Amino acid sequence: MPKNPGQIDIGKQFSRFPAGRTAKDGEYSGQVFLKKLLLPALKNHDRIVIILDNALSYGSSFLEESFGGLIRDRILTRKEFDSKLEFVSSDEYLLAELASYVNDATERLNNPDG
Amino acid sequence: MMQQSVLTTLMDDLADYIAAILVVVGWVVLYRQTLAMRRREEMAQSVQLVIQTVDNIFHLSREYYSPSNSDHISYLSAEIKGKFVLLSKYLMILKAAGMQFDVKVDILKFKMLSTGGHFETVDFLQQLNQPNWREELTYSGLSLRYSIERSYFTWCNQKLNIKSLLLPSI
Repeated sequence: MPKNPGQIDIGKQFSRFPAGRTAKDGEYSGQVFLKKLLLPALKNHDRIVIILDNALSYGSSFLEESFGGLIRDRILTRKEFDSKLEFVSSDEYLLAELASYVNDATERLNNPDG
Repeated sequence: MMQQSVLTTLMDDLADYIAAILVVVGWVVLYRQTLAMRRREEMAQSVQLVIQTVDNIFHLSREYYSPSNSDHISYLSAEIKGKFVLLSKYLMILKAAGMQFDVKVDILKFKMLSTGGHFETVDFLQQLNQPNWREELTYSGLSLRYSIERSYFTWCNQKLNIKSLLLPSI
């Protein structure tokens, strides 16, 4: 059991319409999500459940920046990512998409020339 | 002589039973075939909705990534994302109705190409500079269509064979 579990409901705590990659793309971009919610939560919690269902939909840039970015920018190792974050969604294709961004970021980090 | 007479009577009695059983089995097969065909028509309509959604996304993506589009976050981007949600839901309905899919990889590829790394970013039109992007997008859309249609035909074959028409579940 994690000592200090946390929860982020993106749709309720951030935006129902998250979009974009960096802050210049808009106020509900992946970078803003990282800065405002995810990074502080990672500091304060051993494990975080991220609820995806209450946002209307997710663009590829937002997902890649928010979650692939954690690996790409070496904020978390892949092992830490898997042990600290849990994603909840009724949409199996969304979960698969998210996993693919994380896998790609891991792959690029491990094989920068590949 | 007497043994032969008993055998003939028995055969006559059995013939009546066999005829009755054949009538009932024939009726069951016919009834279940009608149900299966009705179900097949309903599934065909749902599959058409899925394919139509894939086509819509393809055209919306072309429109979004065209030099005439000036908004990185707009109705177009919202509609593309919304259609992907719709696509997931349609596929979940078909799966719940008994169709088996192996389209996850195709959907992921199609989504990554129809949205892409620059989606909803201020420099979104850079997507047009990705080598072979247009060709890859077209191919992935068609590939997804094919995978869905193939799943439908496989399902039809399973539902209309004689075993499934005789066995209790439909």
